[in-house]
Amino acid sequence: MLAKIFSCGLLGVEGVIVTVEVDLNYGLPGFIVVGLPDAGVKESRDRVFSAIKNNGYAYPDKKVTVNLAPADLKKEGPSYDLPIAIGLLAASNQLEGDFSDTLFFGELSLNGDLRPVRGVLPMVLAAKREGFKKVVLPQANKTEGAVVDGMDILPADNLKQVLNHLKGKAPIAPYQIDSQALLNEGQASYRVDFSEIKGQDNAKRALEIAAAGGHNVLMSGPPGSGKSMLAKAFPSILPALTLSEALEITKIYSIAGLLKDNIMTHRPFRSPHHTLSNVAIVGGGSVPKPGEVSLAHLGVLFLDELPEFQKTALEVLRQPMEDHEVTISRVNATLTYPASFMLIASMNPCPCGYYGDPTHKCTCTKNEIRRYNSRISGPLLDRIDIRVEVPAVDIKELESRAPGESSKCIRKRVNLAREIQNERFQNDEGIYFNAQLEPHLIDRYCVLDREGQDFIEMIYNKLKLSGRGYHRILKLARTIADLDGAEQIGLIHLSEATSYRSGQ
Amino acid sequence: MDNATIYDIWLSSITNVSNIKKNTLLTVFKTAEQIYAASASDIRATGLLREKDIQKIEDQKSLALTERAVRFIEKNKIVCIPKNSPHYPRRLEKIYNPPVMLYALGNVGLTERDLTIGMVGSRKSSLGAMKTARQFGRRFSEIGMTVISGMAAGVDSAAAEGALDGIGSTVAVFGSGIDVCYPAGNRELYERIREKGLLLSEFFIGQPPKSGHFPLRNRIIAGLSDGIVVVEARLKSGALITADHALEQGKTVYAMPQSIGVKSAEGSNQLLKEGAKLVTEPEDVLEDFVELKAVKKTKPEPSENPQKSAQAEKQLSLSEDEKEVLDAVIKGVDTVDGLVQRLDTPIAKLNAVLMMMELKHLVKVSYGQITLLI
Repeated sequence: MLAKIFSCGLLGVEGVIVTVEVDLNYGLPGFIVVGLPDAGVKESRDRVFSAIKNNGYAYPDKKVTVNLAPADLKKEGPSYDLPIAIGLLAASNQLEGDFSDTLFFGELSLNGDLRPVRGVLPMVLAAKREGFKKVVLPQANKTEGAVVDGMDILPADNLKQVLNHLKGKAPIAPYQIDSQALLNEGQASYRVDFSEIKGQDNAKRALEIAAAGGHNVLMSGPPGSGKSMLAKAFPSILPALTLSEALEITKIYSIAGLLKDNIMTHRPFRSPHHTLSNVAIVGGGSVPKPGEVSLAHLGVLFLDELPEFQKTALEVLRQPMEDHEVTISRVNATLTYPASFMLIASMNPCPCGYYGDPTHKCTCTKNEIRRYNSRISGPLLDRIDIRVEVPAVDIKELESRAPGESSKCIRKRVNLAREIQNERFQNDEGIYFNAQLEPHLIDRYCVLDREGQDFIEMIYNKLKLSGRGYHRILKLARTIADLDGAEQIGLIHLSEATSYRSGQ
Repeated sequence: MDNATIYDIWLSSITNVSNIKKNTLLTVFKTAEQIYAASASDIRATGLLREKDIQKIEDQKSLALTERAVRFIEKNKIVCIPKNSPHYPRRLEKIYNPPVMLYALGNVGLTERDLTIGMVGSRKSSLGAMKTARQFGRRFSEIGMTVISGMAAGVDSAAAEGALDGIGSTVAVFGSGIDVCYPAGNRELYERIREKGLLLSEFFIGQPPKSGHFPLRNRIIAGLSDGIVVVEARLKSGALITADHALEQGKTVYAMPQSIGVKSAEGSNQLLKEGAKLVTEPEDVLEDFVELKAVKKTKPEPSENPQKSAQAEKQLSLSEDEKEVLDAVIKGVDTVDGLVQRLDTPIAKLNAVLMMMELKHLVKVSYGQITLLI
């Protein structure tokens, strides 16, 4: 007799429905899994055997063939334990019913308890897309699954509960949560608030503009000037996550097995150490896992001490920065992960760190400073719109100061500026904020008046700007004008925009 | 090139025997040619040199290297001034251990001008000190003084550039061969000085800038100068060595005051404490040179005026906001954070205003620190 049960596998950030076919044949008792299983799937035989036996059911004395379809997709992990067990019982007539609208996944322990698996959110989303109504999953994964609207999430502690439910003896109540409330609750707090950082008005303003227009930022300043703290506070002024954005991020974290809570309520803030490799940046592995650029999707990638990173690691950043996604090819799969992040980088002005600091002596020679700065390539710098100098601060002087503006205040302005941009770009596919503007769109949206044209011509000649540099100033000026609520880019916006390219 | 000079070049090509010893030999043998002609035993008989040095001279008694140098010198129009030449700078004749040979490129007459002033200072100097050095260099040059410096990075270069902005009377003394531009980044300045001023070196053609050369170079800077202005110097710096040489040679040392606690100015402030004359404007130096008193009255006026009117012009075209910021900076609020506090202007607007002022060359903003450029 043949049984057919539905489960789900993962391909990148997407779930793929997998049909689990279980067939019993006469012959020597045995257990064969076909459909490119990995070791984890093959081992399910012993877990399923014990789980069935220990729950008072009989393991059939027959030759068992399990087929996982589609057969050309590699299957990995223990999440097929539950569907295989259900299939075995159905095939041996110990269980009856129609399970074609239900998806099963979960790892079994020997006594039949269900253990959590990773990638639940993308799998539930796939189930919804494919028209399934119910999902049976381990208790520990229930909130992650319930985030998806319009699905019956049926959490179970063990195999017995699942079987009682299927037999109608003790139905499991669908688990429901208000995901929006969950999101709002999580967003109430941030690690660092801007009001905790005193002084540094210039850097704060630069970050505000960056948040409003999605621009990348490079902060340069001596040690202890507060660069890292500013970067940590940065997510608190970014626009709040929408539910669909939260789901997108949660999907990535779910696949990477990094999901701590049930849903990502904050924009990610990734701050990898500078020894990290190319693979760690873009992702990799025999079945590619997401790298830092994808883990920072819709959030912030903070690279502290930028010149200390390996040159090649920095260069691989360029393509995802441009395309907002990254495609990784390996023997087993070619996967595309989203990678739309904002880059916040920090560096010292020179190797010893004290160039331009009035209280410390800089011990570097001109050549050393030039070499240090040249570690960051031109093409990478070209993709960074804002460069801001963060001076050292005198702690004693700062203590006497009133606290600065709170993140909430700043975020209000950022949100307003984003709204203006949303309205402006509603007819432009794939453009959401000013940093993404291409030259032909700059010509359309960054129109200057007479005075502005004279000014930009003057700085074009005076600062010997490149074509890209010219466009960068216009994009920045557009964001500054948006923050100002001004339709037309004025001289004051242009002039401020120019000041964030200092040092180059 | 005459025969005698070729032997002078030969003597200067012996780089592992010190200038002092060469001078000693010259007192006995009178000319370099005679030294060349003298046998080892002749030199030994004088009892002035150790056996090691005699051996070194003996080893290098060949004109092969010299002939190559002569070809190079003639090709590049380098002027050789041996100690017994009538063109040898009179000021150097008087110092202890005068160089036996000087290589020169440019206007050789500059060393004989009535008034020469040395300007020295830190290689890693503050922006303000560079600015001052440039201004002083220019004023000295316009008044007819010759500015002597070492063309090192920082203050030295700024002083030379200032002088070139004026009428160009400047002398740069090298710690390397005359054909070696050090620091290499100063190539443009090197060419400009060769064009309008004078490059000098006592070191043989092609000698690299060794650390031991610089204190020797400093004695020549001090020797050529009637006074030394220390713009900004650390403790234990080359500039202080130059000042010491100047004092030994009985010349006046001037120093500019800088902020207390600034590392790069500890040396110059120390000089002031020890009694160097404090200068805040070029006239403070000029008044010590009696001959120029008349010049001082007449000359400064015309040169002061265009500068003043340029300043006035710059200020006229300022907007209200810019004037306000400039006012505050002049009053000593020299950080961006400080300006935000003082003026109660939003940072957005302040950044825009400061950028405008930077483009007008009124201020320079670096790491939140504002430097006045006027």
